[in-house]
Amino acid sequence: MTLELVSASEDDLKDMVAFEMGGELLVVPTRILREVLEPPKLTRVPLAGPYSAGLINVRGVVLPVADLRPLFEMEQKPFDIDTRVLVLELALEEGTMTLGVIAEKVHAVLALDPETIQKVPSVGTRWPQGAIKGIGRWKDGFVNLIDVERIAETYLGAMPTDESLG
Amino acid sequence: MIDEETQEIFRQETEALIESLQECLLQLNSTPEDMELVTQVFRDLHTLKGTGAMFGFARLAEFIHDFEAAFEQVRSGNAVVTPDLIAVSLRAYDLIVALLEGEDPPAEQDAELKAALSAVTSGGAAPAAAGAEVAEVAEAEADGETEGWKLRYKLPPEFMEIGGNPVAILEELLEIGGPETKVEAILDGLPSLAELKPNELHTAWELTLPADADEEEIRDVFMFHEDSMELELTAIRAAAPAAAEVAEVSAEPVASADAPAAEAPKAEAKKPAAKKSGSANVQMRVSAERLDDIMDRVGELVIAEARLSDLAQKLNDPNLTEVVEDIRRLALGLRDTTMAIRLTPLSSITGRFQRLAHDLAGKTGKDFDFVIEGEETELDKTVIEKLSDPLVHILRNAVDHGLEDNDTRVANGKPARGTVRLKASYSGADVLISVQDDGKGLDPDFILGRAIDRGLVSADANLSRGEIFQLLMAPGFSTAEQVTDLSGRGVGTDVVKSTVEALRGSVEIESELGAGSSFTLRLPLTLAIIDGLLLQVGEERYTVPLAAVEGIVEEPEAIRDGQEPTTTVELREKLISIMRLREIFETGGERAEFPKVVLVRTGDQQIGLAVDRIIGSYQTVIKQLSPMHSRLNVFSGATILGDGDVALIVDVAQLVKAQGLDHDGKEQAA
Repeated sequence: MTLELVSASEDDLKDMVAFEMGGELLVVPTRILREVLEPPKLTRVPLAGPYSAGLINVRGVVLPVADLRPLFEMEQKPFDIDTRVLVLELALEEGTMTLGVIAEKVHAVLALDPETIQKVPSVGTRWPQGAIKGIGRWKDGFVNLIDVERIAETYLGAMPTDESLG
Repeated sequence: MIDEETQEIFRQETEALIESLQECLLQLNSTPEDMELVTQVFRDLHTLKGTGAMFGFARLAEFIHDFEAAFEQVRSGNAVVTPDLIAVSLRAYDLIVALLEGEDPPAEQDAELKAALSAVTSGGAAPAAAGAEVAEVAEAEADGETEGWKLRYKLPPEFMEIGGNPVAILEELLEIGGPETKVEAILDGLPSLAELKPNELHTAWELTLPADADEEEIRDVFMFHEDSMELELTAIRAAAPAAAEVAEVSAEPVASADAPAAEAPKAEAKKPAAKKSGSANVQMRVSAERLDDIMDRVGELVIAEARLSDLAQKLNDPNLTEVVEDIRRLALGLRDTTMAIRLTPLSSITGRFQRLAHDLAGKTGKDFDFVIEGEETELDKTVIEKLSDPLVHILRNAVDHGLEDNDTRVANGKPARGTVRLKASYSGADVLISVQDDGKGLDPDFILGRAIDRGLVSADANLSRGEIFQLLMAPGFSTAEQVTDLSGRGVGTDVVKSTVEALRGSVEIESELGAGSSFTLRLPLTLAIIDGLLLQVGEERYTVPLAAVEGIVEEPEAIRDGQEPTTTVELREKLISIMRLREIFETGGERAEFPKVVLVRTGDQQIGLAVDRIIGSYQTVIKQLSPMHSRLNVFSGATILGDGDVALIVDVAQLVKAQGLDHDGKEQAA
């Protein structure tokens, strides 16, 4: 089961970027990372729900920024000197979507050992359904492989579903 | 089988031809003697055939070959244009379209149409031939633009050695030019007898061909020798006084040609001349994607320029200001040019309306004139394409429900023939496209009664005339007494409204009972850039399209301290709904000392937006929202401001709907 989960992205595992939110360490493949920005001025989008942090101007392109902390039931620490926005390019069923994600701190690029990847227990975690691909080991701690594509489709309204309306 | 990609390329290549073909056929219906039109039809068919064969559409090419042959008969004066010929031709046209669309109509259809075509062009037309010839000459004379072609060519000396035959070339040219062609041999280049080699060619020729000779056809004769020969092909312009006029008239080349024939049928007569001058322009095909790319970049440039201007103003350095002004001028020029590239004249789709009118006349038995005015009016290509269906719907309605049948018209003291007018014009940054009929008009009482029956409005609603007509476009409203083949098929006028509103336009309806109705679509010139009014609410800034803004007033004291998202207040002796953006958008932040109300129009309603401050009007480059935010509807996009910040563009109509202040909402509240 473990291998099946990650085999498709084994190459990705060698090249992951780690960032911190709510005390957890999360990783996404560097393959989908376009750039890391100092938090620019965000324009709030009224009525857009808790996961929308707003819009930013990246060299003349308006990008949406998501704040995943409410989704992960994490406290929203105010922006500080370590806060960054990860610009990710997601391959969704509807086409590609460029999305900014708020990170409280960006750590390092790291390689994960596929052997250490484990499936997330289906109950008793903070992670909403489908948000996490697996949990890996790095140094002495755990890192969570988040599935940003799935999150965008399920929770950010990139593909309207009943869940995202709730 | 032809793969889809080829099909698509071919379809794009032929789109213009097909439109032109249909248009010419329909015009021939009203002016059958117009040889220019016959020639145009022949040319279109010829090009279609050639392109078709090139792309491997064998069946199409073969069918068009026969179609073309029929028109060759007309062109050469052996047959005349009859209503039968037009009818068959239109059916043949339909078959061509079907083949182009990749459908596979039964093969018997080809044969049947071929037979019909040859039948209508073969029967005893000889007596008319002379008349047709006269018309042709007259036509050529009336055409002030070119009186003919002057062709001077010299083939390479080794022409005969490589197997060429100069006589065959001359014969080909004579075939194109017809009997009026004058030929002169020029022997200047001839060497002395001692040096003359019999297998070398030194003669040049000068020909004068009549105006109806096709430039392309002439050039085609030399297709294989072009590189090594001298070729001069010039159009002979009208006499000297007219020549002086050319520069002045160039924007409207038809004007001079039109003057002598002032009494002749107007719109129809103009067409071919305009087409000819159009084809003289060098055209280039560019993919829409690249255009969008350029538009994006120009958008960014305009934004960057705005930031630069802001900065220059702060620094107040005269040298900098000068450069900034230059850049501003260039950027705005570039923006206008780029926008102009995306603009397409309405005439690119009017062909199908003419056809529709023709078919509608047949189906309803109502005789009417269909007049198109201002088809040179240009709109963004995307807008034009999306307009086609709504306009078809409105036209159908105008003929089906608007026009009375001819007897009723006469009984009511109107001319027996009705008129349906499709008219396009500019109005500021908007384009107005209206469909007017002189039919029976709309009865407000009847519409209101129907709307109350259907539960669209409450019985005690107090609606203005305009508001009542707008009910026609409410979902679930159809006045069609009975469902006919033509309209009332479920795709109602509400679709017209939603399509137009999606293009940031609006629909206005005017009507006088007994005198006729007009449906006017008001559309923005372009979708990419608008003039916006920048507003401040709390600490946040929002843009509303300036076109919708009708006024700005101080917020009345009476509503200043309210906290509800919406309220009503009496302004200028009218009760107006106010939306407090601060409450709706939950902006927070300090309240301004003198808050304002921006009066905006949406549909036929005036609504007030309570805001803190008006910042000013800005060129707003619209950026689409990502799927994450686009479902919100109340924002139609975002824009980047002079200082680099992002501001949202408020879609007033959607916001009104979301707050339940639109007509549907009223009804719910009642």
